[in-house]
Amino acid sequence: MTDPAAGGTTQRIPESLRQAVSCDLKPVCPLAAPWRRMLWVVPLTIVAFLLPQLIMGPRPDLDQIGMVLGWLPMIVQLLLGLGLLGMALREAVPGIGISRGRIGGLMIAAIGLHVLVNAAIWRFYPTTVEGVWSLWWMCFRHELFLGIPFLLVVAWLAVRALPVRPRTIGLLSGVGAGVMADATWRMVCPISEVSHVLSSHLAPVFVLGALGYFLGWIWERSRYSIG
Amino acid sequence: MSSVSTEESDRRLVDIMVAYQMGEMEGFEQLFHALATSVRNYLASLSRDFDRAEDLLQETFLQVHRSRQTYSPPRPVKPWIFGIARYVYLMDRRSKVRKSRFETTAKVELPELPVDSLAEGLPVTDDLLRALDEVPEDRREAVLLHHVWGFSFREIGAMLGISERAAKLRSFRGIQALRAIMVEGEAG
Repeated sequence: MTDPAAGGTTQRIPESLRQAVSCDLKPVCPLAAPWRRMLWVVPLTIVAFLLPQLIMGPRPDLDQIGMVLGWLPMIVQLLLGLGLLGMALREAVPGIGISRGRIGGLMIAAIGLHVLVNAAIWRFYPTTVEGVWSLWWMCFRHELFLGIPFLLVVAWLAVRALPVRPRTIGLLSGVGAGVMADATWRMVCPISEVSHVLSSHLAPVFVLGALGYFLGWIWERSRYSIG
Repeated sequence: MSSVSTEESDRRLVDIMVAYQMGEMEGFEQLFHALATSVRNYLASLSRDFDRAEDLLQETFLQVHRSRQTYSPPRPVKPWIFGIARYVYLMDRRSKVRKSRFETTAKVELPELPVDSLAEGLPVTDDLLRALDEVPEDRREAVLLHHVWGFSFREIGAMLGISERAAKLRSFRGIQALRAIMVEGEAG
C-alpha cells in the first residue's frame, strides 16, 4: 500500500533501523486513554481531601459560608483541576494535542474561580486573625505539600507517553496540581483576607505551575539529542 | 483522494499498527512502506533539507518503535506518526539552535515537494515551489498537511496544538499568500 499523497515511490527500510526494531520486537500493550489514566489521580484526590480534614479539621465557618461558597466551589475547582491534569495527559500523546486557546481558557477558568470564590467569601464573611502574615508560610507549604504528589504522578504518567510539548504539559500539570491542592486546603483554612489568599493560596498554584514548566524544560533538554 | 479510499487506507493502517504492537515485524515493514515517503516529504518541508529529512525519517521510525505503546487503536495512525515526526523535527531544531551559537550554516533551498493535489487550480511548477518557499512556515505547514497529505483541519489542529478553526485559517491564509506571491511573480 502506498500513500496517495506520497508521490508513488516506496522507501527502503535502512538496515540499521530494521536491526534496531527486530532486536526489540516484544508485544506491547497500548497505552490506556487519558481519562482512564486519570484514575491514578482519584485516590490521590481522596487522600488530599481527607488528610487536611483529619489533621486540621474543617474550617470553622463552614456552616456560615454554606454550600454555595463552600462545597460547591470546591467540587467545581476539583473538576477543573482534574480537567487540567487530564489535558496534560492527553497532550502527552502525539497527534491528539489540545489547542492553546482551550488550555488557556481552562487555566483562566480555574484561577478565576479561585479568585471569585475567595472574593465572595471576603465580601460576605470576612475572616482575619492577628498576625495573619505569620500564617503565610503554614498555608503556603501545606498547599505545596498537597500539590506536589499530583504534579509528580501526572508528570510520571505523561513521561510514559511521548510529550511533544513537555513545557506545556509541565505547566498544565503544575497548575492542575495547584488547583487541586487549593480546592482541598480551602476547606481547612478560614482566613479570607485578600493578602493571605493571594500570597498563601494563589501563589502555590503559580509556584507549582512554574515548577511543572521547569520540569518540562529539563525533560525537553535532556531527553533527545540528535546528530 | 476520495474519502472512501482514505477511510479504507486508514482502517488498513490501524490493522497494520495493531499487528506491529503485537510484535510482528511485518507490521512495522508495512507501516514503513505505507508512510515513509510522505513522512520524509513532510520532514523535508519542515527542515528544507532532504538529506537531513532522511536522517530524521530514520529517527522518526525509531521513535515510533520506542513509543509504539502510545498509539491507541482505533485512532487514525497517520496523525500519530506525523505528530511524532514533528516532535523529532522540533527536537532536532532545538539541538541545532544550540549548536548554531557556535556554527553558521548556509541557507538551503526548499526541496521539491509532491504538490500534485496542492491548491486545486494552481499550476504545479517551479514557480509554485518557489512561492511555497516564501509562505510563512506555519502557514506552509498547514497548507501542505491539508492539501498534500490530506489531513482534516481537526487532525492538523491536534497535531500542531491549535484549534480546528486556527488550522483552517492558517491553511486559507497560506493559500492566499501563495496566490499573491505567484501573481506578483507573474506581474514582475
